[in-house]
Amino acid sequence: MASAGSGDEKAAAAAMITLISSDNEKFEVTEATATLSQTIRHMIEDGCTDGGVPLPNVTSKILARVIEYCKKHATAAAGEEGSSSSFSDAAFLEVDRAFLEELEEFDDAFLEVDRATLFDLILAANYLDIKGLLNLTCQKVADSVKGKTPEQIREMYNIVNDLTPEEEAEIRRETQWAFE
Amino acid sequence: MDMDCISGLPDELLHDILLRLESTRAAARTSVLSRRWRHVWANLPELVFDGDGTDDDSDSDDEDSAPPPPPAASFPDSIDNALRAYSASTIVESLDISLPSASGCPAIPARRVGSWLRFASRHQVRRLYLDVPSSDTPGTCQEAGALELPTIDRAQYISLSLGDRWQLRIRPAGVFADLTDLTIREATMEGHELEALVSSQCPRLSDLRLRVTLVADESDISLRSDSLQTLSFCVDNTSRIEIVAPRMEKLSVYQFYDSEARISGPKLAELVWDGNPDAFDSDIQFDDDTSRHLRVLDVNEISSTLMPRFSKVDELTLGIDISEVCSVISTTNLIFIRVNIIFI
Repeated sequence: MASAGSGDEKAAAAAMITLISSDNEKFEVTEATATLSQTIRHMIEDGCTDGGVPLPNVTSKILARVIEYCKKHATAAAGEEGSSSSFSDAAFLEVDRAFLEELEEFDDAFLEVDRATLFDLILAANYLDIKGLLNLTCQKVADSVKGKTPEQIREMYNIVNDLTPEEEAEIRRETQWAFE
Repeated sequence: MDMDCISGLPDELLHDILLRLESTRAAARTSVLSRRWRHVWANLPELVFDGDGTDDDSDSDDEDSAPPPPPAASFPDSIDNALRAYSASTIVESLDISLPSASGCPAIPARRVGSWLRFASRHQVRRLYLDVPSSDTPGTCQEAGALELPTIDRAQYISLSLGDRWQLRIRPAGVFADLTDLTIREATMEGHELEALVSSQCPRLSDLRLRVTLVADESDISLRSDSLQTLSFCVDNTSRIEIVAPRMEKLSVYQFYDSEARISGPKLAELVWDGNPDAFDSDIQFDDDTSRHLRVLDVNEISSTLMPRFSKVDELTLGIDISEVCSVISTTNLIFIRVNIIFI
C-alpha cells in the first residue's frame, strides 16, 4: 500500500492544489486527491484554481476529514491501475480484493463519528460532489433508520415532534397503509 | 444533547437517504415525525413497492397480537393509497411494483393495475417495472379483462410481467418516443397490437424481450424495427413470423415449433435457438442479406435446418441429448462424461 501511494504522489507531485476552508485554513493536496470532487474537478478544468480553491461551505475540521477520505480512495484507485500491468490476472484479482477489503475497513472506521459530524460530511460531500462519500454517509443514516418506528427515529435524531396530537392522528390515518 | 441535524438537510438529501430504504411504505412512515417531514416522502423521485423484499419487514410492533391479514391481500391497497397520497405534480423517475408471490392468488382486477399504469403515465416515469406473479393454482385465477398500457412519453425502460392474468392492450395512437428497453412477459396480446408497438410505436427500441401468447391461434406476426439490436423472442400461437431488423446483432428464439420464420438481420452476430427445428415442421428462412458469419451460435441440438445457413461460426454452444444413452446403460454411478470432438 505505502509504496503504491508514494509512487502515485511522486507522479502527481507537480500538480498540487490548495483548498481553503471557511475558517481560512489552507490544505495542500494532490490533484488526484482533489479531483475525487467533481466540483473541484470542474474548477481545475476551467483553470480557476490559481491562488487556491476557497470552500466557504466547509469548515477546516470537516475538510480535513473529507481530504482524508479522498486521499485514501485516490491512492486505492491509483494502486489498482498500477497493479494491473505488473501482475498476472489471478494475482491482480488477489491484490484487487485486498485493496477492496482494506478500503472497506477504512470506510467503516471513517464512519465512526458523532451525528453532527456525519451530517456535516453529508453536506460537504453533496457540495463538493464526491459520489462515494455521499453514498457512504447517506447509507449510514439509512441503515440506522431501517426497521425503526417513528418514535425510535425521533429519539435517535432528536427530532422534536411539533405536530399537535390531532395533526399526528390525522397523518397516521392518512398513512395507515404504510403502517399495516 | 445533540441538535436535530437530520431535519435541516435539504429535501434532495433526505430523498437520497429515504430511497435507500428501498420501500416507499417505510419512507412514508417518516411523515409523522414532525411538520418538516410530513410531505418529504410524497415527492420522492422513485417509488418502490416490493411485496417479497423490502416491504416484508413490517415493524415488530404487534408480533404477538392476532395474525395480521395476509400481506398479499392488503398489499395492492397500500399501493392504491400511496399513489393517491403522492404529490400530484411531481415527475417520477422510477416506479417499481412487485406484488408478493408467496401467498396464493389474490385476484386483482385489471382496471386496478391499469390505474397504476396510468399513474406512471401521468407522472412521466422513465423506468417502469411491474411484476404480478402468476397464480399458484393454474386456471382458477385467470382473470378476464384487458390491461391497457397507456403511452408514457419519457419512459426509457418498461418491464411488465403479468402472470398470464390479462390481455395486454396497446392504444394504437401513442408513441413511446424515448423507450429503448422493453420486456413483456406472461401476457396475452393481439398480434397486430404487438406488431404496431414494435414496428411503429417505439422508434428507439433497442432491447426487446417477449414472452407472449397471441390471442388468436396460428397468427402471423411481423416485427420490423430499424432500431432493434437485441431481441429475445418467445411468442406462442404463431404460424408465421417475420423479423426484419437491420441493426439487430443478437437474436434468441425460444419455443418455436411448427411455424414458418423469415428473418432478415444483416448485422446478426449472435444467434440462440432453443428447441430443435428439425424435429418439428419448422421452416426457417434467413434473407440473403443476413450475415453468414456468426460470432456465437447456441443451439440445443445439431440442426440440419439451421446450421448450414452459416458458413463461419467463432463460438459454438451445442446441447447434446444423452437420454438415449441413459436408457441403455445405468447412469446412477456415472461420474464423468467425456465427449470427444472429432474433426474429420
